Amino acid sequence: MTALTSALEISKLAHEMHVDESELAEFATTSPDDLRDLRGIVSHAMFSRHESRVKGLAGVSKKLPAAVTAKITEIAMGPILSARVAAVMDPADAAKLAGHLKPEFLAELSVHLDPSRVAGIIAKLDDALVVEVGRRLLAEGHLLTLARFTGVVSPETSLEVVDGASGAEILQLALFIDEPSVVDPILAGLSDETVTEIAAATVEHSEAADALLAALHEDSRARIASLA
Amino acid sequence: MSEGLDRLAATMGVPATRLAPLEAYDDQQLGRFNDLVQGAMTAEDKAFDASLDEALKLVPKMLRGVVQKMLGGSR
Repeated sequence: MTALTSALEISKLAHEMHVDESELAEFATTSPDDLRDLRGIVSHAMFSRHESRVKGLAGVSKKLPAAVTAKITEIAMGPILSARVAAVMDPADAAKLAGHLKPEFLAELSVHLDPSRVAGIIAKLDDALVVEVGRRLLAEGHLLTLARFTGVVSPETSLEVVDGASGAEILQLALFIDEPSVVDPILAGLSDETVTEIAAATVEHSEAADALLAALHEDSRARIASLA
Repeated sequence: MSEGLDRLAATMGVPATRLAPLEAYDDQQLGRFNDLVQGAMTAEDKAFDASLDEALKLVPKMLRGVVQKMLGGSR
């Protein structure tokens, strides 16, 4: 179980560092909690590197019309820089800007965002836009990114995003979610058919099943067991 | 604290004590980790600078000087 959750944390750390997880394989014996702390340190180090210039850019965006900023954002800044700037923007300004950006660009940008830094922005976005971006992430296989955002959107929004996803995809998503308590309300809203698919997927990945079940509320565990 | 841990801590701008859980790894392993972190930072610096250059090209000329000042005059 620890080895499995450490492996999941290695995947998350590799994502943060833009490297293949195999390059971090030798650190898989570190505990999940320590790997999580390390990810936080790496994330902060990467973010703070350009903080003053990023804040400058966020200030610039206040002086330009949102439509002009959106054009600059999509055409020139690209997803990495845009993600950094979004993290320091005033949530109201950022939400206004997001309304001018294409959902496909927002999905690309989301891969580089730290959701904990932009929860205030997401709260101000139109639900339909959040769902559309989430569905794009799901379709493109960005399950790790999607999992990170699941903690900052409502269970109802998450359920709309995963509507139609396979049991295996939802299982992987659940395993990537940092805060296990987030999974229970989502699971409660899924159809029996989907939970049956999840149960089937856990059979194929018994270690993953252990990790997931251990993190869930007993009602959720009982439901999965009854549908397995 | 080992030399490898001190180097990694310096790269990430934290006290070496924050990296205590990595004490079990030898300097070679920590050196490889440090290289990966530095590589990620360098790649992001390049992407960041290239994006910023492109972005400045789209800022209206009359505002470009103001923008450069707001970015610390480094661009």
